[in-house]
Amino acid sequence: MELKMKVWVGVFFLSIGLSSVDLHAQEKLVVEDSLTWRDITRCTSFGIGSANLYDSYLSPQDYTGTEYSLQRESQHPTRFLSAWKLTQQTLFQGHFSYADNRSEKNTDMAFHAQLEYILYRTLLTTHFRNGNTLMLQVGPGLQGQGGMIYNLANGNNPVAVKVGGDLLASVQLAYHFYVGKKPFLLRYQATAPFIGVHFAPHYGASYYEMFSLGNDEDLTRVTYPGNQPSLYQHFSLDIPVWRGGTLRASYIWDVKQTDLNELRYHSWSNRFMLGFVHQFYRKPNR
Amino acid sequence: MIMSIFRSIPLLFGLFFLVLLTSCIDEEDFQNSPTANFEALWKIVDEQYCFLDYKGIDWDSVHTVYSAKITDKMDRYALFDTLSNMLSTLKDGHVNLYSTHDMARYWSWYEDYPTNFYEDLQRTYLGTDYRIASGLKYTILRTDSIGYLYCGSFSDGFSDDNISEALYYMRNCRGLILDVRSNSGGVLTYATRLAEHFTVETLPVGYIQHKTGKGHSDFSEPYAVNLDPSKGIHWLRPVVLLTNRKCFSATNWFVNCMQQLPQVITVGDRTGGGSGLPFSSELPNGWYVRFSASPMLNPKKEQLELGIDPNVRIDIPIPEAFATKRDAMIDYADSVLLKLTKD
Repeated sequence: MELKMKVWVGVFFLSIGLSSVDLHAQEKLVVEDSLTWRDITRCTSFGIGSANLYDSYLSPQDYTGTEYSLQRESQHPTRFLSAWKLTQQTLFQGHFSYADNRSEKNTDMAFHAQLEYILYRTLLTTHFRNGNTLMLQVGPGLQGQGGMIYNLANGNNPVAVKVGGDLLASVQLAYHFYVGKKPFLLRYQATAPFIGVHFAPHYGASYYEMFSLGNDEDLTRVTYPGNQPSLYQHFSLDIPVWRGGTLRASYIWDVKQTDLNELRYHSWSNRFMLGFVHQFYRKPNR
Repeated sequence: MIMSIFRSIPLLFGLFFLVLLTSCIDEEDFQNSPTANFEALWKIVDEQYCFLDYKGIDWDSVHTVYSAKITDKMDRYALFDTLSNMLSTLKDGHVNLYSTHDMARYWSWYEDYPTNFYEDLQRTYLGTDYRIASGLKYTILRTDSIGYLYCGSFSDGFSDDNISEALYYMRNCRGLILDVRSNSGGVLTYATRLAEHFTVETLPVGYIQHKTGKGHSDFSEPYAVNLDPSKGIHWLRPVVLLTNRKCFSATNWFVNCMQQLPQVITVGDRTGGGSGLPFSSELPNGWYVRFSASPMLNPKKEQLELGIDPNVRIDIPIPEAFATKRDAMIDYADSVLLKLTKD
């Protein structure tokens, strides 16, 4: 294992350990009022934004264009380890990007889907006198993703496939507040992959050699922040717009990057999303 | 304790942002000027072209020579011509530069040699009532009961059924003339598909390599490529394979595969070569470049880039052939097959 990778593995487990230590301490200090929270929150969002694609397997140029996204998110307290006050988040994202090169003479089309499962542990819950609540959660997660970039002009190297799985570290800061008597939720989430395994073709290997001729040995690489410095950031505001109905407005800054086998890739996305939130109340310990 | 928790927040956030800010993966930023386009093209070839060492090309010297000819005041036509000349030093039919006004190419691999294939002469043998199965033209040379199958391209697909139908039609023939002259290639899968109908056992036919890095000699270990039997009909009787200089790329590989088969004799001219699987890339101004990226080798791990010699070397005599309307290669193949099958 490379030294750089060992350092990042250490940092990851250090962050997990740090969250555990702090939690045990704060449980005595913070009064948890589970009734201030809905049990299950689901949100389906649609969005559009800018895409910046670069994959040196396809081209030395980057491509800029538009990204269309669908996101389905679910959050609720876990039924297991209830004493630890864990919250699980399931997040599905699907993206389609259509981007042109600088000369506008060629196009990349990209498809990407990913599914994340994150287990948050509450570090801090603070209730303010005006009824507002601030919550900080940190936790590990798992992610599986798949997709491809298709370059319309290339011959034997038209496609760059993106498939992989990662162990994640995530932090979430949520602020519940009231305007009048209406509850709002302002939330920030940042998630980064720490350790993973990704499909990684060799520098000049063709897909013909890999899949038609069967030279498929050693096509995966272990990833860590040194070769996969990626970060997903999500800012959202939940706005009650009608009786029982909540609208979620989000801004997402999604940076996916890899540098594997001297093949460099990035997908930088800034997107705005709108979605409908569905909340279901469930009695504790049910 | 709350304070200690708060103190951990910057650490956690810091880790996330540190990851991103210290490790931005971005492309090399070339401006769209003649100099930048020249440098981008030179770099693509330097890092990805696979025959620099094999052909003994000093690419740094090429940079020295051609960078002196590039100025930011030159127009796009002059730039294109200069870049084309630079690429021609690679002497590779798989290397092209594409713009909206021209396509740079190196075609000396067949332009400098006898054509050795004329449709007017071929018509003497095909006649007018030959069959066509997805581009495969075939007939029986009725006087000798020898089959004749012409495959002029591997760009347009044909199926195992197409090949089987052609071979079934010639099922009573003693031998087969398989003509791939002036087939300048196409899809390797189709070339392999045709060759697979001439074996009933898996045979090693060569190797493929790929670049593992940007260095001129950064290559993977050769990976063995086998020829597996196809579905459908297999032809195990004698075959004479006709080749000329315009047999290039996928056809060059097809000829290599066929040469590994015991019942096949190759007749005609040396093939044109082109054994590097081509990749594509582009310049900042939107011009595309195609280049050899992944070499394919014969079973002795020898390069096939410069062509494959036939077992029997024959040229079509010009202009005598037009007077007699006889194709010397087909006639020779016919006589060889008759000798081989007379018993």
